[in-house]
Amino acid sequence: MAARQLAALGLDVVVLEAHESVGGRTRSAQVAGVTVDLGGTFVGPTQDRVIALAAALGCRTHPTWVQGKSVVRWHGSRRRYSGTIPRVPVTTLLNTERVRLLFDRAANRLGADGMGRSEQDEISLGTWLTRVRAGQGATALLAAVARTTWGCEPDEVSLLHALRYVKGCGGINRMLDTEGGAQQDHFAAGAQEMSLRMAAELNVYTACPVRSVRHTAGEDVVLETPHGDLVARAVVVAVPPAMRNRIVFDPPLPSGYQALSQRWPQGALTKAYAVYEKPFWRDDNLSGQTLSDDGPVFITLDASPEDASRGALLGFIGGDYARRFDALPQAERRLQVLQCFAELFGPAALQPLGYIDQRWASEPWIGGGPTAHPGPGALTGYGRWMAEPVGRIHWAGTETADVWSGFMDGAVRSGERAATEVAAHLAVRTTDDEMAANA
Amino acid sequence: MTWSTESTCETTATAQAVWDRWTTASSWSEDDASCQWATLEEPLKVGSKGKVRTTGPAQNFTFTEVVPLKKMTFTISLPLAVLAFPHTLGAGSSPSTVRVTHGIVITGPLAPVFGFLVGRKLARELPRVVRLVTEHAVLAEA
Ligand SMILES: Cc1cc2nc3c(=O)[nH]c(=O)nc-3n(C[C@H](O)[C@H](O)[C@H](O)COP(=O)(O)OP(=O)(O)OC[C@H]3O[C@@H](n4cnc5c(N)ncnc54)[C@H](O)[C@@H]3O)c2cc1C
Repeated sequence: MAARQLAALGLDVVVLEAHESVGGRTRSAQVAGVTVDLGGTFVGPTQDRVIALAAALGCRTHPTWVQGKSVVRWHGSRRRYSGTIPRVPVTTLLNTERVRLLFDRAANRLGADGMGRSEQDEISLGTWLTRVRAGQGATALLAAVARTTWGCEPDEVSLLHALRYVKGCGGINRMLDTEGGAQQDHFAAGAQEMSLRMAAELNVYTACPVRSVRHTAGEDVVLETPHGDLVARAVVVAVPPAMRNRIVFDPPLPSGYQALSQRWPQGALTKAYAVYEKPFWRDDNLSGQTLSDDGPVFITLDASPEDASRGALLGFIGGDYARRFDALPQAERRLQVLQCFAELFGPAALQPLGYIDQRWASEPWIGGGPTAHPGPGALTGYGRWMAEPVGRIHWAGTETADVWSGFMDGAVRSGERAATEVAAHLAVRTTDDEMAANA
Repeated sequence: MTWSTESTCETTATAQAVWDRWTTASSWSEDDASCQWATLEEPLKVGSKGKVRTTGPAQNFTFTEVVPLKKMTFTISLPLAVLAFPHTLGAGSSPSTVRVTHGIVITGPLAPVFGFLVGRKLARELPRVVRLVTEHAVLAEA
C-alpha cells in the first residue's frame, strides 16, 4: 500500500518480497474449482481503508453466508441456535456477557493514545479472566476468541494489548460478529487479488528477501538481497514485528527495537477448507457457523462461492490446538478436520471433493498469524518502537496500525501512514539538499 | 446398574503405535490432563496391576482384558462400584486408518452416583484424550 501511494506521488518505488508471490498473510488458492482464502479473508463495517482500496482496485466482495441455524458443540453435546447467542448454559452466557461488558468498558477507558494503566500490561488476558471470576464456561469462550484473534492462549497475550486491540476494532461484538462485524463480507476472487492487482502496477521483485539494510555515510540506505544490492533514499519495512529480526540492520537498531522483535511473537492460526459438491448443510437449515469448546477445529464458517455452485466449509485451528495440529502429517490433519466437520454437520462432511490447510506458523517469512501476540510487559516496554522511524527506515505492517491492527484494514492504514511519513521525510530532505546546494 | 460413555476417532496412526501408547502407563499423563502419573508394576497381561494418580490419592488399577492390537480394559474399584476403561481398536473407513475408542463404564449399585460425580467430568475430557493418544501415536511414527 505504501508503495502504491508513493508511486502515485511520482516517486521511483521498488517492492522487494521474500515469498514467491505477493500477498503476505493474504493468500488465495483453488480447491476443487473454488477460490479459498488461506489467510486474511473477511472485511466489515468501519474497515474503510481496505474497503476503499478494494473498490479502487475493482475487487468485489459478497456477504458471508449466515442464513440458517448455527451449531454449538459444548461439553460434548451439539445444539443448534438462531441469532448470535450460542446455546451454552445460561450461567455461562450471563457470565460471558458480564465479562464482555467489563472488557469493553476497560477498553473504552484507554487514553486517546490507546494506552491504559501499566498494571494492565503486567498481566495476561488469562490472569484477568481469573481475577474477574470469569468461570470455566466464559473462559472457554474467551479462549476461543484469543485463539482466533491472536492465534494464542489467553495466558500468552497482555491484557493491555488485548484491550487496545479490541478498542481499535470498535469493541468485541464489532470484531467478532458476522453481520455488522468484521466477518460480514469476503472477496469473490480472494483477498490476495488486492495485492496482485497492486503489484501489476508496481515494480515488484518476488522471491527476493532483504537480508540487510545499511545506512550509508551519504545518507542512502543499501538493501542487500540475493539478487544484488539496491540503493534507496528511504525504506519502508512492512514485515511482521518478529520478522524484523531476520534482517541485519547496519548500524544495528537501538536495543528497544530488537527487544520488540523478540517480544512480539506471531500467533499460530491455521485454516482448513473442505470443498463439497454443494453446501449440503444449508439443506438442513444450517448456516455453517459453529463454535466448539474442543478442537482442533473450534470455529467454522460457510465459505462457499456466492452462487453456491460448490460448498466450502472453513475451519479455524488456533493457539495450542494449532501448535499440535501443525506438527501432524497432512493425512492426519485432513482426517482430524473432516471428523470435526462431520461431528458438526453429519457424515457427508467426510467426503469432500478437495481439502486444503494452511499452517501460517511454518511460513518462514511470516512466522505465524493472524498477528502478533505480545505477552505481559511487551506493549509498555517496547510498543513505542513499533512505528517510530530510525533514520531512513520507516515501519509499516498491520501491527503498526492503531485502528484495526491485525487486520487487512490495519495493514492498509499502516501503508498509508508510512507513505505520508516517507513523502514528508523525502520532501524535507529534498528541501534541505536544495538549500545546501544553493548555499 | 451401569453408567457408560465412549468417544471414538479415526486416525492414520497404526494399530501398533496406538497400542504402544495405551500400554505405556508412564505416558498416560501426556494424553490425559487429569492424570498426574501412572505406573504399571508388572508385564502386561490380564490381572497385572498398576497405580494411577488423578486428583485424589493414588489408586490401584487392574487389567481385566488384554488382546494385543485389539482391545484392553483396566478397572478401578470404588465403594460399591467398579470403574472400567475399555479401549478398542478397529478397522477404519479406509485401509490406511484405524478406529480408536475409549470408553468409561461404571457398574454396581452406586454407578449412577459415580456417573454423576466422576463420570461426567471424565466424559467431557474423553474426546480430547482419544485425540491426544492418536496424535502422539502418529508423531511417534513420523
Ligand atoms: C489465518 C489468518 C486469517 C486472517 N483473517 C483475517 C480476516 O478475515 N480479515 C482481516 O482483515 N485480516 C485477517 N488476517 C490478518 C491479515 O491477513 C493481516 O493483518 C494482513 O494481511 C497483514 O498484512 P501486512 O502487509 O501487514 O503483513 P504481511 O501480509 O505479513 O506481509 C509481510 C510481507 O513481508 C514479507 N517479508 C518478510 N520478511 C521479508 C524480508 N526480509 N524481505 C522481503 N520481504 C519480507 C513476507 O513474505 C510478507 O509477504 C488473517 C491472517 C491469518 C494468518
